[in-house]
Amino acid sequence: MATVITRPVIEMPPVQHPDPSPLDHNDLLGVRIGEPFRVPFLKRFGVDTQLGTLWLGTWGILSVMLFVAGLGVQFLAGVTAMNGDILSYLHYFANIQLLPPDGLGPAKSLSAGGFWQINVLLWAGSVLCWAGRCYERLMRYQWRPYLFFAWLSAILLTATIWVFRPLLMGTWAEAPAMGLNGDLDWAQNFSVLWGNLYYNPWHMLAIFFLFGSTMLWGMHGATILATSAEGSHHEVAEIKDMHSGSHKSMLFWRWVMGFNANPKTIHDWIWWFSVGVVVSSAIGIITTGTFVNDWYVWGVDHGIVAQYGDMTRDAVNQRPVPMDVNVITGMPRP
Amino acid sequence: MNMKRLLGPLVIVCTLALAGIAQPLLDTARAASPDKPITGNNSPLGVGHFDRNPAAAEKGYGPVDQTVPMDFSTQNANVPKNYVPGKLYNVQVLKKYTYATLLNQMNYYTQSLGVQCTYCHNVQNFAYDTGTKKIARTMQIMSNEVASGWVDPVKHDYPNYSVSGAVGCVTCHRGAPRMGVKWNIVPVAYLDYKAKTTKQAGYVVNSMYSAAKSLGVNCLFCHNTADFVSLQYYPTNKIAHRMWAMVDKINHEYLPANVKAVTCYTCHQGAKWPQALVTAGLDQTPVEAHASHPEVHENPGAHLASGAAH
Amino acid sequence: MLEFEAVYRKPGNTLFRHLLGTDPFDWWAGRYYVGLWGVVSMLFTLIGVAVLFTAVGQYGDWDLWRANVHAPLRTYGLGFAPFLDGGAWAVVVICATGAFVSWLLREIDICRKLEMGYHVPLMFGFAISAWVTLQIIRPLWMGCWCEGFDLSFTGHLTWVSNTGFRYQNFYLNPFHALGVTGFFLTAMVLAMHGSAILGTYNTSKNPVQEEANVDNFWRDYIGYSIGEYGIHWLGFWLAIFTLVVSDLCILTSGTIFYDWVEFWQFQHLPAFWLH
Repeated sequence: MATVITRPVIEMPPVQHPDPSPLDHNDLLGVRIGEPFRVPFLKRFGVDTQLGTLWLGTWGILSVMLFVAGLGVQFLAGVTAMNGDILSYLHYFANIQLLPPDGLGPAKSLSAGGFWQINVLLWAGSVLCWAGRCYERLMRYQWRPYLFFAWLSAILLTATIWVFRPLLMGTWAEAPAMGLNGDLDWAQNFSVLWGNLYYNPWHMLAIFFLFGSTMLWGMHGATILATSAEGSHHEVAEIKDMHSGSHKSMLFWRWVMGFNANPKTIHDWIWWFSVGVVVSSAIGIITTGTFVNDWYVWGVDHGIVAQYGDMTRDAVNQRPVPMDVNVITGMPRP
Repeated sequence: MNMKRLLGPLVIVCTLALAGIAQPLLDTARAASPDKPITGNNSPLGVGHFDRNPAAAEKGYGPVDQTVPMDFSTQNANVPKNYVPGKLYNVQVLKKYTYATLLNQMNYYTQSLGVQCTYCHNVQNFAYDTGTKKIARTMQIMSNEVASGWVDPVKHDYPNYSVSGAVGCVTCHRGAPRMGVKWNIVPVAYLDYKAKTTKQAGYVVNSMYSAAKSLGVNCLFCHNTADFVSLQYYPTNKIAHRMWAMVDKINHEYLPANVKAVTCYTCHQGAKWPQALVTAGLDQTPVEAHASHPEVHENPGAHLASGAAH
Repeated sequence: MLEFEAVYRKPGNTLFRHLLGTDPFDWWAGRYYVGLWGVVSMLFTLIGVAVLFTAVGQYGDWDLWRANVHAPLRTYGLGFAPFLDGGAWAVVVICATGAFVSWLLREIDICRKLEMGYHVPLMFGFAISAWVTLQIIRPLWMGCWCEGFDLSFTGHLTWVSNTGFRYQNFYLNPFHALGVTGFFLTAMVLAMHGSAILGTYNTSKNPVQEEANVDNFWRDYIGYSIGEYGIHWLGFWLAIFTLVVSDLCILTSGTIFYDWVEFWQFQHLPAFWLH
């Protein structure tokens, strides 16, 4: 019986597989860097011990450069806001937030949202270039582009939060601030302002997929570990030709809950569950404030939640409030 | 058994234990410096809003310098050049008092602020208007306004709260002429949520945390979390909105321009109802929030979600 | 029955048989394995569901979203509550916990029958720990069964909402943050694993070459390939990590910490380099 914790790994010299297709001359930067080497420490976990080598490629280099530039802008903006005091910057690192500008146009100044807009552009470019790198590698290996579409769906959620919904709402102020606490605060404020997000059915669905993804990883990971003594973890081979490990994996769930996947379909399940998280989240975000103003009222209208009081809104006041805001603290100036 | 396998659980347990030890230590540290501004909800630098320039705030404060000669050109006609003890001059607000009862009131001032007569008066001429005396007069007008215009109506509108205390100097001052600034809040106009973006809602959320800490409560004291933005569920919510407007009025009409420093904490100081009236010997009945639903503060969903059952 | 199933269907090797020498329920019903613990689990389930429906019938709201069996009122503390004031909730919670644990023991029986590792029951145990923490351990620690969540769709949403705001800002709960990170990380790693398998199977005549391609791809893409075994190891422990920090997240709220904003105030004490 395999142990729960780990599994012996056979010591092997590092391997370097040849590139599967000889089209590299299209990309001047399309080279592998370094030599592969092994980290024996990783052996104790039962994971692969080989590190490297990494493929460079134009898309990847662009992506990393844009990402690092975004980090630099983030650092620069934070230090600027702390009057150049790097110690204060470190002290308040988690709380420093680059707030988005009000309105849809370009920000009036760097500190009043300009840094935020630059960073959105830089990091959007970064993730899109990474998608390019992903697609390029997948095509080189002649794989089906599942990974590419999974990454695109992740970008979809991010872009919905940071770009699409603010565009629909007509102000960048709907997007989260940049900073460690920025997204936490945004989640809290967003839920409070647009009614109770728990009554958003797409949010429900996203939570279902999110918890379901963890549950599926628990089930699939545990099943494969439990039967890996009989080789069930060689999944691409098992899809073609099943052996006792996969048999036991399937029979276990068949006997437990009357239903089982097989080595191929379990990966359909997990792919769609994980993609479902971001897709249903994106729908839940894009509808909030644009089509549905208040999810509690929506929930009452659709019989999801009991009506606790009357639906009249107190304190409705369309008067715009002049805002002069400290972009780092997130509090209005006196 | 390989002892190294215990490392993971050990790290988790130690983290938890450290966090558990840290909280009382922090409480102690905070108790040692109660006036240190503790900032609002996830906005550590939020002290800036009502913060003031300490140097500017010093002007016009502190005991009257008795050595400075009096300048009657700045005074009104009621201030006598030849002051006679035992007579009343230049009384603009406390007109209902006789000389003896006025002395009682002055005693109340000194006890409330923990100061001597010289803090406001030139002892050569008690009628002479010094800087602090002018502020004291404004504060008395403000106190009357707060009591009659804001607190008494609340008491009248919500008789279930059985509040019978009165507002006085000691409500906020509590034996000190100046108080620390703590738990800053935004002006009441910001609370009108429909005008807001998600970003602007954040300032309100920060201020709401300040208000909650000022009263020693959590969000559930005033809000039905199922329908957070509505004021209609709990009277505490409506009262809080009125009190918030009062704070704005105090800051903008009564306080000097450099001391826009009043927050919920100024009066409440961590209690649901300001308790300092007790020290002034005035009557005050403790408040039980949500008298009709005593469980509501702890578990507000209980009586709502099970509404069908009862 | 699957074509290879007959080989694996053999009686014996169950927990109960080891203890008492016999197991009266060591047989299959259709595709399900029954086993003693299956019967126990079903009994718990039947009792729990019957009590649940009885209580809902008494409360009178059969709406799918709002049918609610609420936790005991605060006045009862840790004591017994009348049936409609929370007694029904307590019975359902006990039955559900019993059913979950019996289900876990049934999984152990099946693992023994198939001569597999006990990873799945272990993982299920961690999943049960979330339920037990929410409904039993934390209410016990806080001294009131009213701390458990109502058994209904809307009721548990209301509970989540109230609990979050009760400790001012739950997003600043570090265990909550780690838990959310864990949930999203599992989703991401899951997508990467699923994409790798679905993207590569049957792309060549030689499965060994396909597996080598998976390693090769990840080394090209991110510089490291964790391996066929390693990816399942990673997913397994990510899921356990997520569940453990989620347990801590709710267990520490209201018991050790009352204000997750204040929890972070240590960073506003004067900086050490100013001393």
